[in-house]
Amino acid sequence: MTSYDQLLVSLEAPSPLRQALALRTAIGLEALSDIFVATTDDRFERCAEDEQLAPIRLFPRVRRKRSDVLMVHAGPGLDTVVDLIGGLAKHIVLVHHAHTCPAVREAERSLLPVVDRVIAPTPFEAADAVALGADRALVAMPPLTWGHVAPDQADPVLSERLSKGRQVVVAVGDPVPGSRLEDVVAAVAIAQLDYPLDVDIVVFGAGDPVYEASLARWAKQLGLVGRLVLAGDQSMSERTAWLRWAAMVVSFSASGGLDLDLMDAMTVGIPIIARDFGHTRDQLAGGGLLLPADTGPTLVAEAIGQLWIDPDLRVEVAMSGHIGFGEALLAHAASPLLPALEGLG
Amino acid sequence: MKDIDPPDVEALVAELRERIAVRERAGDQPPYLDADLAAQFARVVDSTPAFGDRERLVALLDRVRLAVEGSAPDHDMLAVLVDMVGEMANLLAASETRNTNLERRMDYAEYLIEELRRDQGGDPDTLSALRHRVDRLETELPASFAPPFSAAAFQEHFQDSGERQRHWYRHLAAQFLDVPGPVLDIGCGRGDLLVELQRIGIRATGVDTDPSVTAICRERGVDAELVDGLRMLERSGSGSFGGIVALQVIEHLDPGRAARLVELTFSKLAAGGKLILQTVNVESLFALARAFVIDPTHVQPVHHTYLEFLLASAGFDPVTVEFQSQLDDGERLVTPGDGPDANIDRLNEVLFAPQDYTVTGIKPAESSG
Repeated sequence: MTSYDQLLVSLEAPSPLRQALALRTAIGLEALSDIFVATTDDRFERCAEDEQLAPIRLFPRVRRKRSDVLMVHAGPGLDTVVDLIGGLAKHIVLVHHAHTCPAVREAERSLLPVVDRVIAPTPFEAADAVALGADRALVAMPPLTWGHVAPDQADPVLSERLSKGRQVVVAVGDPVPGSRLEDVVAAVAIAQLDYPLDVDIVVFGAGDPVYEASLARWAKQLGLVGRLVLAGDQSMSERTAWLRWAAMVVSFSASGGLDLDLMDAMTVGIPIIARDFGHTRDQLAGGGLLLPADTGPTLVAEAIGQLWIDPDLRVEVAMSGHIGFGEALLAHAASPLLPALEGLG
Repeated sequence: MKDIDPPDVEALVAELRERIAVRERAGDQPPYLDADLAAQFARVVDSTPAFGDRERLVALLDRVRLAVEGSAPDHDMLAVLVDMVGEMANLLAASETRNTNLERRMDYAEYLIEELRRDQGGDPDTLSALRHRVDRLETELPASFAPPFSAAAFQEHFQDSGERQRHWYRHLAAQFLDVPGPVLDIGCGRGDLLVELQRIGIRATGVDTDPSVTAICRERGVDAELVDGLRMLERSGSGSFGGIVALQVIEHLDPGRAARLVELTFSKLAAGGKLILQTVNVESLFALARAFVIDPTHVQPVHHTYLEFLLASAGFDPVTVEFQSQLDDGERLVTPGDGPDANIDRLNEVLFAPQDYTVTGIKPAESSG
């Protein structure tokens, strides 16, 4: 098997830290000396320090070095990243995610001619990569984030949050057009008309400011004044804190790719309501409350309301996801990532 | 732990759908609510303004300039950065709404600038070429409102080029006869003032951001550069000019840039130098309703007392205000009776005050700023 002295990873995709963690976990530290991370997000640096991720180095330190492989994740700014640092690696591996943003998809399409290999975290995303124009895409992605969602009870920041904790609905997806977060907002607004629901809605990730502003106006129009929290990019600890407040996680997933929020929720046993789209069914592995693909806000509102008032149902839905995830985790324990990179370098 | 059975999702979904149907039948929930909500959200998105991209790109370009002038040694990276900004300007020009891709590119560019700023050194020739490219980029940034006409066409259509206007430019040019250095005309337009300054032997340069008018200036044999006035001031040394004039410019700037303009002019004028700013007189409702709103690129009117205050705050002393462009009597209200009418007179004052004013500031001889 090929061994690598360096692997240069661009993590412009959401949740860069978790992807770095995943890579480290999946590849095995013995397989390479360092993972270098290219990211524009200075919060990443703080996260990396917080989490004591010694093997992960940030992009500036590798700027003039040449790596074996640049593994670049599809995401906003993809083409810019490749323009700037593509020359630093012998081979470019594109990790395709089923992004809904047209600009990202266009950037991926234009990048394909210079890409040596395409890999995708799920079969759904592999098929999507081929539809986009790739000759083929290998399914190879590690189980993500398991073992890292362990809240630190002694963390004073978390303690403070928990002490005045208000339950939240975590709306899955970055705030970008096509994420259908507006449907989650609408569903919560409808549900609270008929059920004694008292929650905030939290959205993770940095997105399109116009869409974010529209979402905020939408929540206000629907009577959820001050109840929508656009939390932006969050560190692992921060996400963990939010998850501990989460009454449920709701996904209208419009991308259909691997979803880290769903994996986190399953890991810690939070009930999930999700639309059956793309890879979501496989990811839930029989757990959660999987609603039909044509589900709209009214049906989700009913589901939210029922979960809110029925503690038995809540436990059933939560535990089915948790158990399903555990089984899936075992099935994927041996990552196929390194074999997928075989021959490069 | 007791055994927990997974929920029968199919049955649950059927139950949930039935609840919705009951509500709809009872009139508690409108039918087609999902579709209505989708349509309503689309309207919300459509009515949410795109904001900030241009302003951020302008700020980014400022930072690129600082990086270039900081003599960063990594020319390749710097060149890529300059290209990136050019590409972003194109992206912005082609896009009517803010897009995440552009946003992330800006993030990345800012990040790289921070990296470059940490190193010092550099080859002067390469840096000079990069500086030139950055200056060019300034003029290529799309305007916050990009009119579908050139400044030359607009001025040709709306500006008086008759004898009265020529007389005004002559009068204005004469005010720079005794200044201690060359004159900079910001927003020089077709170069009418530059021609008059040249005619009486005063060395002067004009700057404008519209290539249609700088081309006309060159045809008329006067010196004009295609560059933003604030940029020109920023890159000029302290005390470079004996006089600075900006006619009908400040109303095109937001309050921050307007204040910056005044601040920069003070530092770039030599001691004893003169600044003259002209704009629409807010106290003439006729001028506001006509001269101000007729130009869609105007940002906001500036009251003469504020501008006077701004100049004095920057250090100009003395600061004087003069009103121009008095309307013809034919425009004014006529007294209905034979005798004077105080109300009509007062109305005439409010409605038909002079249309423009100039604020003139002198940089004190003992000033070192």
